[in-house]
Amino acid sequence: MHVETTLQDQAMTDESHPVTVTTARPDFTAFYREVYPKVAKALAVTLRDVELADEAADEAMARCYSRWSTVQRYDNAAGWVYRVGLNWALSKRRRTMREPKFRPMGAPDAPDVADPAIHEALGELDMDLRAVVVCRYMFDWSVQETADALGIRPGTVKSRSHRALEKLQSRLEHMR
Amino acid sequence: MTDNHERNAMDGIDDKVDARLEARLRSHFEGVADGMSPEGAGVDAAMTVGTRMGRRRRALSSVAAVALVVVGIGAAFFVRSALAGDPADIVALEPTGGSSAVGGAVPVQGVAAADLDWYAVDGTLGYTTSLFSASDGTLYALSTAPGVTWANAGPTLPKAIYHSEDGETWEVALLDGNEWVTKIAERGGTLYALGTAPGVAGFDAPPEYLIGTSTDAGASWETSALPTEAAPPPDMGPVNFVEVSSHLAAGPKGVLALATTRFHIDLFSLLPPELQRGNLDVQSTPDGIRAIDYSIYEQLDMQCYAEMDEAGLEYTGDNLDEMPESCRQLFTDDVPDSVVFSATWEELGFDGASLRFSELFVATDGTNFEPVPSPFGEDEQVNRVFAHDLGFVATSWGMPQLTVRISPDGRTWETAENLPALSDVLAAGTYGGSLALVGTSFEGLPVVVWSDGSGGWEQSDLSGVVAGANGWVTAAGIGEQGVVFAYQTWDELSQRSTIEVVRGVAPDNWELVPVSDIVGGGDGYVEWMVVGRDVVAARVVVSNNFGPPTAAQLVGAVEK
Repeated sequence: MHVETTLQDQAMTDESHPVTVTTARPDFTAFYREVYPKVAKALAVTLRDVELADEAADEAMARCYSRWSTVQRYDNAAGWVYRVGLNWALSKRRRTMREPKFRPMGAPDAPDVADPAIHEALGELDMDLRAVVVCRYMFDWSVQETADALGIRPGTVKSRSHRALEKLQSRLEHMR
Repeated sequence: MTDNHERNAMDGIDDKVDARLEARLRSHFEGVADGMSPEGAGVDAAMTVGTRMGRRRRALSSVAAVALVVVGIGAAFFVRSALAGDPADIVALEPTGGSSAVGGAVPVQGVAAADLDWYAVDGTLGYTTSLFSASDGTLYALSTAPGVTWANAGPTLPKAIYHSEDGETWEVALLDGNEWVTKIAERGGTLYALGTAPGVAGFDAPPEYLIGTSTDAGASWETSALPTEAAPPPDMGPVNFVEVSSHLAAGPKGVLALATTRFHIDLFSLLPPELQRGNLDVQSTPDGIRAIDYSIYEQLDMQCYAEMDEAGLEYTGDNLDEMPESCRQLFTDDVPDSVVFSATWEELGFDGASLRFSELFVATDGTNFEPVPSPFGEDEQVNRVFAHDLGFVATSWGMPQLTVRISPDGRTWETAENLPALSDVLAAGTYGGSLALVGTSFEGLPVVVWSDGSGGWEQSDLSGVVAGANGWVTAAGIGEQGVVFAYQTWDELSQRSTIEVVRGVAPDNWELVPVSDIVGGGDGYVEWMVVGRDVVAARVVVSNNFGPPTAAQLVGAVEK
């Protein structure tokens, strides 16, 4: 098979750097469509701020596209986007002293809080613990995937996960 | 918490209470996710903003890479005062610029540039590769076939050959049965085409390059094979695929065809067994191969953005010194720890030269294509090849900058010296008996240089002509109606791009075309441009604030 540098290839790339095909990787548009909603939702739960989560997901996706040739090779590119968005949001929150604005239940555009007790208990977790819980149980990522996404060791994921569950359990006991 | 409890949790063997809690968490998260529908700014916005971030990074990397070269050139390429030539034969437009020179002023004589009447029409052509003004003044284009859009294009875009007398009305010749045509050119009323023959089965077969000639504007073709010698490499394992690219240029000095062939073998299999694992990317280098561990990039990526966000830093493209070390490595693509394996072809026991072929052919009479020594290195990426009245120009990428070669006949080539550092050349051609090049400098400014063939180059001073900075020349053309180029800049404040179309009829005589007024919006770019005998034509793509872009064809016709 001969791989011709096609019209479309040339349109998508700098003509001075001819297309080199190595392996099939997802195109950014498909990646965005699949990952953006998941990351934005996960960030909303982690940050407890829907608007900030949307902004953070937008920023992370733009950074992702600017480094797409590299990021697409990552084992857990979605994890990279989540982490970049989380870092950006926390930084912005620190700079602006912005308070979380998770819209209350019943608000016209508020997300549906399926389990109010869980929602409240999650809100009392530290951000580090909440991020691990989101990665493990919202994304359903493995310990290793969570570690990769958050830039921490697998052992730290396990210990944080355990501490988070313990705190949640304790909190839920008190709420009965 | 007991030790036993801790160990169980660490092993992932949580007790029944945790299992119930996990299920409850998952259920809660599913409910939350179902109740949310984040829209965000959309994929177009992400790509637009991301592209801007990437451009900043690339621009900085390029500047860093050529800094020493620029310093070196700066000493030699000093600015001299204005053009000494007499542009008396040129129809006078209001002079808006000047020029500077090294090696003598360049005369521009005997040209018939006229005042042009500019207007916009609905575009006929789509994405276009070959575009030129033929020897009889007819405009030719190899462009997407009628009705083809990105959405229905498939892996390759169906093409057609268009020709026009006035730049406004185009007649089309479909390429039914001749889809192999990838480049076209014209000489003496004959159209030439170059491409690879379809239907060569198997990975181990050499590609067949076809040359076609047509005397009916591309409706029918007579073909013959270029005598290429590229063949699959022996003893290097199976070939994964063959990459081919071709360049074609035709002018009074002959027809030039360049065939570049790359055989890609399974580089991964050349790694030591202990490295044959995931997340390694194996790349070929000029001397052999290297394996990059992208998990190291990933860690660095995390670290960089975390440190940058923590410090409240924004990367603007020119503040690399303020960035954390992790970002400096990342943005300059200098991550030494990521290279986990490298070996030369010799160390691997192979002849690396058998993977890459750059074969050049010249038909001085337009008929017999003879192989001639290629001036391009095996790893050099030829960017563009131009034919003009005095010979040929070829541009290619090699670190740290673009190389421009000139040839009087396509057989002997020399590197153009004393040029400013260029990141790209969009057009090369003769105007008023002088050779002109149009490109973008590494500083992001438009560059037009002129040569009378004596070895020196004169650079037009465009500082008083274009208003923007840190942009790109996106399209350019050179012909009887002058030197015309489109310059795109990005305005951070308004978050919009600006197009400036500039026409020059002498090295020191430039005018701005009010493109924004003509096409109804300036946020976009000019995709292609051609300058003919009596007309200038260009395709202007307007961005429409992230909505579907629209395209208009800009026409500048000689006033009658």
